[in-house]
Amino acid sequence: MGRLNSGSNPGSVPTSDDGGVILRVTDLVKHFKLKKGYFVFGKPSPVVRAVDGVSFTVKRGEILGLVGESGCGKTTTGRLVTRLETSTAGRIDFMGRDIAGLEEWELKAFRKNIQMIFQDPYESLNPRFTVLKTVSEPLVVQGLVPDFEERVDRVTRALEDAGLRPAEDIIERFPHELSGGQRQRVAIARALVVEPKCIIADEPVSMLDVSIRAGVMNLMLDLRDKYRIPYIFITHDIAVARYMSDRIGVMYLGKLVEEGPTDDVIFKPTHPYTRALIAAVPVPDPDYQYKPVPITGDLPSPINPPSGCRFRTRCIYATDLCKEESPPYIEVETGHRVLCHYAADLFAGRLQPPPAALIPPGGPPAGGS
Amino acid sequence: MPLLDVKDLYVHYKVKQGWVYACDGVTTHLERGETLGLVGESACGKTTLGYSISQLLPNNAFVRHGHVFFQEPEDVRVYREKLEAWAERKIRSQAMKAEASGAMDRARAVQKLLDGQRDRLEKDLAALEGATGPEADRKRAALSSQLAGLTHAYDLVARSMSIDGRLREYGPAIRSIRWKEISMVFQGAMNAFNPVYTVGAQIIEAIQQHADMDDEEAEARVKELFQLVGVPADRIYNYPHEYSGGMRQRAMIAMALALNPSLVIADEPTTALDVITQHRILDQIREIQKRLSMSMMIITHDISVVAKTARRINVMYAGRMAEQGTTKQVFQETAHPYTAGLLASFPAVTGAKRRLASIPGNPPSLVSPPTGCRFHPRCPYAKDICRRIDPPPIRVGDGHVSHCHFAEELAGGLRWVV
Repeated sequence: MGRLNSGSNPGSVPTSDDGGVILRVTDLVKHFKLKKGYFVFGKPSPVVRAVDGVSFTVKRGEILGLVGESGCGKTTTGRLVTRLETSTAGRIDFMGRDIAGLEEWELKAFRKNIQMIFQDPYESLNPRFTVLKTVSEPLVVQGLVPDFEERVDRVTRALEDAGLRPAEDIIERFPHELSGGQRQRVAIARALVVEPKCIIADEPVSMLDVSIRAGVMNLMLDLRDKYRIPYIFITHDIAVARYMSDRIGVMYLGKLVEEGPTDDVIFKPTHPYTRALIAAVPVPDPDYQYKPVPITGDLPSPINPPSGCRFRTRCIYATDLCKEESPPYIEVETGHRVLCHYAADLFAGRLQPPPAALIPPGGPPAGGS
Repeated sequence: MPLLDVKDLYVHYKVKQGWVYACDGVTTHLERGETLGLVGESACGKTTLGYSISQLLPNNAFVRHGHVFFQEPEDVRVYREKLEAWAERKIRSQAMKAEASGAMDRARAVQKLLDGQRDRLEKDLAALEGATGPEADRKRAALSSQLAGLTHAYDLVARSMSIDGRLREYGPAIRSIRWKEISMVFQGAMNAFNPVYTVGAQIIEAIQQHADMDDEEAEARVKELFQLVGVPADRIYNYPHEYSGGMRQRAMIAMALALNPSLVIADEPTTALDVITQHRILDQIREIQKRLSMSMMIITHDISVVAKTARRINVMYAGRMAEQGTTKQVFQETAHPYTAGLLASFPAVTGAKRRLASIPGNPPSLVSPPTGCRFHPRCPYAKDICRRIDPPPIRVGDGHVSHCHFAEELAGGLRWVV
């Protein structure tokens, strides 16, 4: 206990308004410039708007789940917060300090505060490093624990925290001698060993087998309870996000379209996109009656996103207003905000969908059925 | 009436360290017009099973024993099964006395017994040579149908097996069936198309390889198929990189349906796709399957996908079957501890949030699988017998089979208890 050495009681509930906020992201923007073709002189090079004005806060001991389809910008958001990418605009306030503009030389010292767990434990571990070397590397790089014996001690403790008990059995092994679940636990230990203030986990369980996955998820939850480390948990799997997070943020084409407490978002989805996303999730129950998935068309390109509301091209409620004006955030209940012009009406159930636009449970109408 | 009957299939891969027992005594069947979900974790042999049916195995795969009966007539099957049951009883009683060896040896002994029976039948048939009259004709017809069962005339494996146990890759037997009768939807639709040809041209080529159609007819057929799977027909002139992931997967499905096959094997058809696209494709698969009344085998690691699409489920673990039954039976009257563990470790978006249970340990290496029941090192119910003896298939309900020594005690509402 108390490994974080922050002086406060790990179980204490933040009292002041801003108390407990570890991370506050404001209007974060990341545009990737694409390479110009050979014959388009004069034109500005096209830009991928990967993240386009995302704001959220993460409190101490809280897990924020970021969900969305591939290409929605959730991974880029994670990489911006860890400063693996530099944002185009916006603020990232981390424990009261804007880290969006940190210079290279300041970054190294900062990085011990935010650690990352990557998706593929087969690629994120150096195959030529033993577990000991892998997990002690952050300590060496940060110059935190100069003494070797002490370092081994810290590594052992981190490995045991990550559920690799006894750590002695595993500390001299190479990644190829570990199973997928063990590798991901080593990656978790490597993130934990520097006692970070925040962890960004990018799809940490999607490469793992089903029977192993639950164990790693439970481990991450237990570590949160033990050390009150906040996570940003990035995943495409809504069922996993629901299990892991206290709050869920749904992203669509670089925008955070809905954010709120997990159960509010899962059981009272308000943004038309969230509704479609949740209705589409397969349920491990043969008797489950699926609701229609209210969405049309395919994901537009993030190079030329639609005007106004990004979702309007696929939205069954879209009107001219959605075409002309970007929607504001509307808080439909405490802590539950939705990026939609009609959020209040949708939340109250006052807006009925046009029946023809509904996709029947049998998929989009195909010819000749 | 089964369309496909897989019996005692042993497919092993030869590797540097020895043999990988990827598919080790698998028996299953598929009715006409039904969807079967084949579930299991990575490296449990589910893909090997699928690929042995369509005979697309890599070069180091050896079929050590087993049969894949396809489109077997009813009378042939009934006779074959009767004889097989007789031979199995006989071998089992002998094996009891001799403290039987492995399951594969037993299956081979059964085969030997049946081969003897076949020789006898052949002699009988030869004796009828030259005889005429309705009586002799009737007898001859009966004999040749019985002989068809014993010579495995409908057995895809027997027909394309080469001497060393490998399946001949382009053997004539499978070539007349593959894609026409058995087609596949591959996992990586991203890589399954050739990037330098248009999608339409590739499907047309596949059609013309197997059916006598000229270019116009084939093109019209592709357009019809694209409509069926919900892709605009003019997209056939586009290249694969111009398709989105979901569209490519749909084009892949269209290609599999091109020749009206009676069986489609879909290997993780939606794994790389986003939720909304997955939902659409699964719905489409279900609808097309119903409309064309073909049989489907969906291979996946995701139990929620099979809960949505399949009527029956086979759960595989470490190269063996664990539990087989209708989707409802497997989900609601679980009779194998592994299935129970799998169900308990799966998160859902519905219902109350409960803490997930994980199965302790790791899936075993298939180079040296555990003795006896392969699940015993991870099983909370394991007893001494599980370490020593392979669990037999135990019938716990109508068409519901669990490969667990304690299936009868555990059946019905089995809960994971770790």
